[in-house]
Amino acid sequence: MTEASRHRLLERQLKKAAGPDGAVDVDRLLELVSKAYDEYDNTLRLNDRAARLMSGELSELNDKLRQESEARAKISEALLQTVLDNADEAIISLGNDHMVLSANRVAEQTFGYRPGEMIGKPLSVLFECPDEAEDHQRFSDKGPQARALHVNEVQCRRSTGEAFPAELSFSRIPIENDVRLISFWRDISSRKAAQAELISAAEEAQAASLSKSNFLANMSHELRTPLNAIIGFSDLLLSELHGPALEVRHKEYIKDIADSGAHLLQLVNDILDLSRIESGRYDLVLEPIHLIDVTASVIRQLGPMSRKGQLELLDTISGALWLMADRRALRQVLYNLLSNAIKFTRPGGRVSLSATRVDEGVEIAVEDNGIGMPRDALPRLGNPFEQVANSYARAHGGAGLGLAITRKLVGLQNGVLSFDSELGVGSVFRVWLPIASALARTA
Amino acid sequence: MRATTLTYASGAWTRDDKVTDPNLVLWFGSPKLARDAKIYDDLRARFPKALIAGCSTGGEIYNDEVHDGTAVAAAIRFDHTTVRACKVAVSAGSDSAKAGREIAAQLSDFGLRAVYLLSDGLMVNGAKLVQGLLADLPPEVVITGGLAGDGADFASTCVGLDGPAVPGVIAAIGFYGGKLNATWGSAGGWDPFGPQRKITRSEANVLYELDGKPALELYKRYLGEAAEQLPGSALLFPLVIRPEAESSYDVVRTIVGVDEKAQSLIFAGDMPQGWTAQLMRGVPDSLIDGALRAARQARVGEDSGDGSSLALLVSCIGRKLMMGQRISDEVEIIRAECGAIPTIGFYSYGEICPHGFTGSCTLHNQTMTITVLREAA
Repeated sequence: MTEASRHRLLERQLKKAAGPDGAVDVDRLLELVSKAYDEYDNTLRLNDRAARLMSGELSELNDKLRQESEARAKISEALLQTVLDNADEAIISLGNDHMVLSANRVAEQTFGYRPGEMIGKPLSVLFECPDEAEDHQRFSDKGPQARALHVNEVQCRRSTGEAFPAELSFSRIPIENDVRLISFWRDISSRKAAQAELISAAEEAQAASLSKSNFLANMSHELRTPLNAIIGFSDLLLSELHGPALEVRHKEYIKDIADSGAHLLQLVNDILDLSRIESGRYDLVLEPIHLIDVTASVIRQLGPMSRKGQLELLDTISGALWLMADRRALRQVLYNLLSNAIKFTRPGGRVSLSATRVDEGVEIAVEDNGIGMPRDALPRLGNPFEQVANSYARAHGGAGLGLAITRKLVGLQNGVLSFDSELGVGSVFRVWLPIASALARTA
Repeated sequence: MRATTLTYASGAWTRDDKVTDPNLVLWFGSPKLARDAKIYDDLRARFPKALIAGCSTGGEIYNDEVHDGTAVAAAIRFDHTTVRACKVAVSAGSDSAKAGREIAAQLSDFGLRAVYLLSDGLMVNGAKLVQGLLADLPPEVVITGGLAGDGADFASTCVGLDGPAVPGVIAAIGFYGGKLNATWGSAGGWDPFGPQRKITRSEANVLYELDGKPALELYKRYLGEAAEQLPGSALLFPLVIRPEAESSYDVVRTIVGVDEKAQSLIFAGDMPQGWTAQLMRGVPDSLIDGALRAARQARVGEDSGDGSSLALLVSCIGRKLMMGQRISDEVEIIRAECGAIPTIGFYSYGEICPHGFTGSCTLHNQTMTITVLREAA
């Protein structure tokens, strides 16, 4: 053996076994070599032992972990089963092949299957129409981004063949290379039935209301014709153009006939207006209107009435106030409010008209110091037909439908009517209407 | 700077006239020789003006060889660096952090670049000693060194500074001056294996329980018949400890003592309760690879070997117990990597060196730790 090919450990041992003269002490060398073998054995033994113990410890730990995870799995399984058993919805899980893997109790009851009978059935048997089943099957092919729920109303089929509507949502659960679908179904047939009943009730009510309005419109027209005759002929008699003068007593009777006729005509006109509004036949044109144009003409028109009632009619509106309103409707609103105020104000009293900017609109106020109304009557004020049944209104005659019409007209012009009153002190009615925007004004 | 190495054979130090008036002489001797005042007295007689420090070992390193029952020394002459030293007396159970702070107070001065520690290996909690020292020294000061050894007996270690070595001493040498360059490298090469265990009961450096079971029992089971050689044989299975199972910061700890009555193990540094511990095992090839990594980290490859630098090696007694006669391989591979620079070192009960991950000095176990001193021109 050449020196170069010796193991370096042997080389070292030879060096250590060499005496001062360079000669190798064989006993010393053998001792070193033997010790090296022992060291090698010990290292091997120790490492073997460590590997064996470690592997034992690790597999023990592994068993422990497995037992723990099995115990956890059991708990979550029990939890899941409780949720499934007590859910209000039918919950059906499906495999990638759209075959039922599991169905909860509600699902079996909803679809009319015996326990366990649904498992292995294709998704399509649950749908009334096979095409719809295919649509939903496609959901699972949309890739992982389609994991979110999607809710749809679908037509389902029970095992008895009976169809029923349901709300259906899906949730995707990607499991490694596979995908599970969890579907949630809610039988909505009773909700649907209740909805249908509500809709038909609403339709019936609407039809009834429309026929009532039509009836009123026709009736009013039929009533006006004979009234015109009554008023016309009583005026003719009073004018005494037809011949000799009537006795004073007869003249008073005829005047009563004419007044009652006029009153009745006003009532009929109101009913006609209201029915027109309610049946949607009151056509409005909303346009920029200069408020003073309308108020001036209404004040002028009511001048004789206020003079007759011996009261002051005060108009404080000035300046340029442009409203977005319908000219005819605004006129009627102001006329109704002012004439009412004049009617319910005693001689010597005062009715005033004013306007102020409020927010993006103008508030027009009609205020009087007339007889006023009791506070408890206010909440029902302006409700059509209730008004005529109101004993207070009846006692003062003619207050009738005017306010109901006024409120409707204000509403049609996107405005708001509010009021306040106190018995023996007076009333105030406020109409808020939107101002005409700059754009609308220049248009 | 000039450095040369000496050995003690046949009752006398070898003669070497390369360095005649050293500032500093470091020596490492077998427990038997170290306890004998003669080796100090001989050095003192030859170098009357030098600062002389040394300690007992678990084996001596002389250039590329590992010996038992000898003593080695290095005589260093600095041209631009001054050295100053201090020592602190300790006893079993005394406050190691306090000792560290005392050393810092004595050495702290303008121009301090490095501190080399030689500490009693059994009465000191090395981790606490370093913590105390770090607390009061600027962070740029390089702290290296080791805990003295007592072969594989763990009975008594000794350290001497300007006097014979005695138990219960920590000696510290401070290097001052801008031209000193101290580099270091440290690596183990042990492989963690088996399950991670939680330190469920410990007090400072005493470990009672891992995963609620006596730690001593675990060691005895893994050691088998080698359990008879406890505590020395426990070095074959060091523990790597981490704050959390997933922490990237870790530190290796070895046993320096066993308490059969308390079923506890005494370590060279702290074993914080709640940390995670994992057993490690070594095979010669991976430990030798660790030594190579330490040499590369110390960046000494370019040295010419003309005596203008010195390598101080501190390797763990556990490595020597594991590798047996192959222990010289780790010194040879460092020599092959670093070139023939003067090298001495010893097998210790704990290595002191900055941590490779945090860069902050700490106590290591089971590593090869290299400090290279040189002066810039």
